[in-house]
Amino acid sequence: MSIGAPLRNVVILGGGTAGWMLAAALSKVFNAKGAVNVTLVESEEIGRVGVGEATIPPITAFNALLGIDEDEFLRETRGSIKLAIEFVDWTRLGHTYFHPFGQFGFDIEAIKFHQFWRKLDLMGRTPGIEAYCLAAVASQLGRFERPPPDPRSPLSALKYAFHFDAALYARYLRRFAEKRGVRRIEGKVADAVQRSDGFIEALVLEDGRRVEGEFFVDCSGFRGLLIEQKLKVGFVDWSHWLPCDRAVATQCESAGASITPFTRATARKAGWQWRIPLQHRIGTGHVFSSAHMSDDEAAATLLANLDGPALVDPWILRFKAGRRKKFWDKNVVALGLAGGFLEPLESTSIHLIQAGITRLLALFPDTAFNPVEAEEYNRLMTSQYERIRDFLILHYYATERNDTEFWNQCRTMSIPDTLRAKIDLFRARGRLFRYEDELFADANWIAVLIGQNFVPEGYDPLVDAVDINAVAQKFERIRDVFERTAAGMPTHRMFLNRAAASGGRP
Amino acid sequence: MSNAPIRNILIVGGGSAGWMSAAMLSRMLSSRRVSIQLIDLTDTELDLDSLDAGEASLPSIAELHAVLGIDEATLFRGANATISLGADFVDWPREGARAFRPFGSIGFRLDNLAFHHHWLRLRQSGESAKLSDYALAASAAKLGRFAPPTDDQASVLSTFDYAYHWLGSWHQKVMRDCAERRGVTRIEGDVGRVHVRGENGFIEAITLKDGRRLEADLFIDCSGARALLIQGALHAGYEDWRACLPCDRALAARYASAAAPAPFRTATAATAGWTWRIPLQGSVGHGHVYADAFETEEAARKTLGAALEGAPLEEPRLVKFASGRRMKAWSRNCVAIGASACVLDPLEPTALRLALKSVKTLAQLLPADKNRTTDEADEYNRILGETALRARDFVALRYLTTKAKTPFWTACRAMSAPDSLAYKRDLFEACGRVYLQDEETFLESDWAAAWLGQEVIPRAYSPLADTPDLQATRESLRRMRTMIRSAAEGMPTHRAFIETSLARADSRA
Repeated sequence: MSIGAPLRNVVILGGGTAGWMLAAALSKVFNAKGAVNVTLVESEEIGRVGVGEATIPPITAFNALLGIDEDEFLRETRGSIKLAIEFVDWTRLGHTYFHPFGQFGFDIEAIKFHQFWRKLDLMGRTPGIEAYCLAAVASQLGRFERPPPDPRSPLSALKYAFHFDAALYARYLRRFAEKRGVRRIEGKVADAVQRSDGFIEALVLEDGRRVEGEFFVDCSGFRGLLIEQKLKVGFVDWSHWLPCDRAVATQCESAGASITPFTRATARKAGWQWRIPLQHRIGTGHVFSSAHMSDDEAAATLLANLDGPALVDPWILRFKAGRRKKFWDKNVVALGLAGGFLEPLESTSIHLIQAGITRLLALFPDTAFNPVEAEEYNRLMTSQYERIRDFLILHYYATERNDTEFWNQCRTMSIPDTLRAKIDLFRARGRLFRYEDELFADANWIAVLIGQNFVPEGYDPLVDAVDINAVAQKFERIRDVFERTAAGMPTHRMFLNRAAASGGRP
Repeated sequence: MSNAPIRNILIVGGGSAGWMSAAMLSRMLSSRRVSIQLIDLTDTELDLDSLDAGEASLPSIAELHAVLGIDEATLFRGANATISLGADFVDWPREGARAFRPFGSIGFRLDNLAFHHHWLRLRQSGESAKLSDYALAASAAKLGRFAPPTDDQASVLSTFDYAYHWLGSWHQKVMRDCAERRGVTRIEGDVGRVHVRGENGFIEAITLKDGRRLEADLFIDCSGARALLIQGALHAGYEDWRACLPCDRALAARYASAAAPAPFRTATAATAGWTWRIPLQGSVGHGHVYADAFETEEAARKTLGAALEGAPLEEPRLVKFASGRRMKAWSRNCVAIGASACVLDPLEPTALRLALKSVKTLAQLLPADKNRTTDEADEYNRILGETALRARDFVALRYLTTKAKTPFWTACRAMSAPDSLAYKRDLFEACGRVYLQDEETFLESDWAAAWLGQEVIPRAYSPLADTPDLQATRESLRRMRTMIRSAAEGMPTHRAFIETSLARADSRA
């Protein structure tokens, strides 16, 4: 195999969340070497798709990689804390459950916690499983405290993420990246020049300027200027499983209510509505299937369900669920919406960008572009997208709703074999099988499967070897400790005020 | 739907797989009314499991003894056990080379990046410390010292792991006592005929050679490589691995030794295979694993004789084996555990680990209805099949990357790697990344240490390793080495640890 010279010039096309997250990471990682020049081309005339305002816990690892101070981050992005997603009306109308971050209880004698829970549940001796997850208990009380590093504290089990203003986030990361030497070029890309072997050689801007590079990252959004329009890698369409193809979005005042430390996802007649609380406003949008609902009706539904007066006119987004056949082809990697789209039901958009960045760093190529790196990257990202896809489909499929054509279609659709296998295993005896490199862990699947009433018929036979009365006592203690721990936290608002006041960097 | 639950389990074959299965099942199914019988076969042939010249294990084996409630002193006394902190690989991948593969962590995760990337960076800048200098298990092993790890995550003493060496026949006895105490019935005999039901292919009963007929709902085939039930009666299919694991003979013996036992095993590359050295209390087991096509029995006996450091306690014993696996270890109402399911070159002590995972998975997937087993069997075969293939790849790695010039090793280098292993290697060579698949027995640091030990060096390490200043990384790695060395020096000797453990057990008794 050939060994090439190190890459010197990386060009990022597009400066949305994906572009600036990558620019920030590259500037941080390669800053020490000073050996890689990073150029980002963007145009202020092109609008951003700012749907990814809620995140999941791995974002804290990304912040740590950049060395970002969390309080400063919350101030700069007008952000808030996210401990869970509250799902309203998904299982059936009038039903609510939490999908919290972190674990439920803890394993006993190497047997999974939920197995014991199910046995006690069958005996009528326990409340719902949410009572055993600290993030769910704190969500209900609207409280939060940053977990201490000491693993003996019950608070250390708390996992959290953020809500933030995506436009402010991109601006924040831009300052970070530019300070570390990333060069930003303002301009619209008109074309790209390819070598005879198809590799991209340079971008050509509308004013005729050429931006040359050895490696290009396509962050141009849905259009996929390089990955699709130039390299024509093709698209894998998942809209038969995830039929929502539009969203109408807006922002509204928070009407003085307390700020919830969780995202809310409320099922509607032909889709669902997100509600993301920030410090200064609430971001909200209605994701729907255009085959089942008109834009006007969707907008009317959204406007009828706001916490306070709308701050901007609603705008429509169009998309299609699916992914590129290849995320990395030749010397181009597609990141963010250029790579694929999955609706923000589980707040995975920003995470998929982050996953792409960390894998790209791990597999960073040299100028020889060894095919094994691209192949591994494609394998890893394909599996990330597919597993998240399955998890999203579960939300639509595991429903009892039969009040609209949309929900009838979802409830009776045929689902991917990979998801079918998971559901069957779980429903029989609560067994979970986690695929390699899968983002969502057992606890996430348990929360949604049980939350949407796909409860196991039985439980692991090994549970019967353990004294159930002793287990019941342990369960009571866990509930008690979590309730007291959560009640002792400051309110979410108090926490944010403290973060805002904490002076920041000297 | 009414279910016909499993009430009777018949294990065919004693040996280490049979008695371990009996002990574990009698414990794990204790709350269900299941009766377990075991046919202790008398016509067994000598195989890898019964060579009895020292058996090594992997750290996860602790689970077996924890579930069965067997304490360490019982292993030291009842199974002649010693501690294992890893394996010293000598003369791999070339004569004179040496790499220790420790149990537990190598280095600490720095900046959320696997340690070996930092190590590669320093190596490139001229630093000479070995990878094993960053593993507490390796440091303690070299000093002949041992103390059990602590749970305190903040302490360096929580960063390593350990397993045991023991005398196989004694360990089997510990398992058998445990099973019989829990009510497993032992029947001595030999399989005459296996009766298969015409309508569904399930096994109905076994007639012993003396005419006794034994019926059961579920049959566990622990008859060894002969696979009397799973292959003999159910024809579950076999996958031959000799194309990447060419050794097919093992010759082994023990000699008495009064020296303090080392807390690690040694695997030394030889002309047409390799030799093991496994220290026990009062004796040392030695074996020579080789390929019949490249070394005569006479030459092999000489190789073993040269490795022995004392007079053998008995005439060295020879077994023939072939690496490979059963395609469907669970078929109908029969589950194969042990050599009937998988035989793997013992370069890594995976046999008992695989058998333990088999019996645990079986207990978890035990069908609610004895007549409907397809779904459970499919899932079981997926899990155990993957497990076997991943372990195979880990062992095959050393055969494919050894650089010696003898005809045997030259032929090994010309073998083609299984696709899964070739992919792992390409990726590691390109950028130092370890690709972990489902059901791996060996972890990221094990793979990294194995590749690096075999001098398969990545062309590039992760660019993330370059984030901290070089001097800062050099300093934190130096601190790591110092901390590890002083922690190892503070441990008692291996021999003292065993003696103290036994004395404490005596004073309790």
